[in-house]
Amino acid sequence: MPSPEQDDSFLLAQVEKRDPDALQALYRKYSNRVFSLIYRIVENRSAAEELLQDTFYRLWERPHFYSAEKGTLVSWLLTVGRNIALDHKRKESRRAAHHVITPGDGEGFDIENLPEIGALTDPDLSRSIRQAMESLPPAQKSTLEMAYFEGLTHQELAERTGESLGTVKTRIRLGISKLREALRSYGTALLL
Amino acid sequence: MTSTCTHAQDDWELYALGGLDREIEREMSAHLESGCEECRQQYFEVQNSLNALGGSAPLVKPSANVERKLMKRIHADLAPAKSASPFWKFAPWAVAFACLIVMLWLGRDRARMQSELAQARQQALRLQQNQQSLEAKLEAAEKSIGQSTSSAVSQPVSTARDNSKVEAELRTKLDQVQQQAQMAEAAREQAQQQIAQLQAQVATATTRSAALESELRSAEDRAARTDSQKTQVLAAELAKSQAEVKRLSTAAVSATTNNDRVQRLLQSASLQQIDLRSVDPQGGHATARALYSPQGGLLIVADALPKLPEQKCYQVWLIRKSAPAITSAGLMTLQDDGKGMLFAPPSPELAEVTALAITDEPAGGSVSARGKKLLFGAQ
Repeated sequence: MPSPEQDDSFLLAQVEKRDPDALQALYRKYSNRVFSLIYRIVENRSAAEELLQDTFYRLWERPHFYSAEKGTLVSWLLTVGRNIALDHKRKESRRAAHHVITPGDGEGFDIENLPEIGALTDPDLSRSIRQAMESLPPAQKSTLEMAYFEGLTHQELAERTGESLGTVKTRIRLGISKLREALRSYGTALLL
Repeated sequence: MTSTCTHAQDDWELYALGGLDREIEREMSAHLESGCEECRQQYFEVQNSLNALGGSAPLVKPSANVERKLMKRIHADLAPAKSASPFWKFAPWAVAFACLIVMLWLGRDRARMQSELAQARQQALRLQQNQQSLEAKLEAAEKSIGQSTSSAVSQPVSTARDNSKVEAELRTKLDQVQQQAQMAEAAREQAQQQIAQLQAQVATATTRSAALESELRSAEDRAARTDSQKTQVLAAELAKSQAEVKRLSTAAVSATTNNDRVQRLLQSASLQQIDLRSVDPQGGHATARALYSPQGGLLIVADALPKLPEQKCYQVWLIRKSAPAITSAGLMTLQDDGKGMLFAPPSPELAEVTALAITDEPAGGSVSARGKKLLFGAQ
């Protein structure tokens, strides 16, 4: 039986040959995970759906940008999705002053596809990640979350938290380091 | 294990998150691309940990529409002509037609000027020919005067039939010659005047010709520029129309789903209500009412909310009996008239809510509540 990576390699090779079915298969496999991350960052369903589409369209347009040497495909998709979402969020913040907001323009959700909170595809993995995050000291956890989900630079983090640049960097380093250790100690083989 | 690479102690955590100095970031990228296995391994581990952090986001499924739209976009790539909607199918033709009209109009203008130029050139040529003809006539007249005079002077007088008769004839002939000479002189002066006029007309025609040529060149330049500008304007209008269609479609979908959400919320079994009021002078006379249930989500509507500075936004917080004790429900959207609204999706976290608060946070919202508490309400 082929491993998930082998499956991905095959599907990716098909995408490079312009096979739409292969891209659809990859979309069905990873879209929930990528969408959850994008939605967590932009907090707007319609925008997140556009950005999810852009993420997979980028894979369709430039499959050669992904290289197996850079990690797994889902890892690459999450990185692309995060970058696209953070770019969108920065642009939105810049033009917020000129945007007249109307009710329902922001927090949207589709009644046909209600969100399932706390239910990752792999419940054990979900639990392990949450426990690992909860095990971090609050300052490390919030600094890490702001850096990852809000894309704040170190300088912005320092201004937001009122801490020095050095403290911010140390918190990020320790936070990620502890997250790695915690995930290992939970015996979680990351499917990433 | 002892490291053999000088980059092994680098901040791969900070690199993976982004936000390092660009120079350092470039140096570390170059090092990774050089193929250092040890550092690559470190970087991947960090990247995996970060992706695990991404995986901690609550699972939210995209609507089926996204997949449909994506596949439609992809099939359009493969066969653009088949998938275009009727309007967009003909839009490029409309643009091309408009460009053609502009080019024809400019071409007609150019043809008119070229015709005028050709006429001016022909007129100049005719005038030159007339001038040459008149100059020839003038020469002939001058020659004629010379001949007549010499003829008159060389008339033989040796015949002595009748001196007085001869003298009379000679006088008559002399008068005739003098008259001819005067007429030739008058003709010569007239011809010279005509030549002067023709020369002036030639000069005018030459000037006009130069002006027309210059105008033609300007018109050609203008045509090139106008053509490009018209195309740009049409392309901009096309893009604007596309954006408007997209915005209206989104608004229509949003309006429909909002209605469904409210119905779902109001019909949910454990519907609860909390009224919020201003607890800070900055909140003014703002009030808000929240309806919520774990199955139906949260709907909160506020009134008389003061306008916030550009860099701030309103954020709604759930205050709960158990952990997480305070958690964000989302950012409240605000209208110009001070009315605000927020829909939040159904969540188990709505089961143990005891109070709600609205704070002002930096634009984009905060992970944890740090702003000023402006409105508050408890059960």
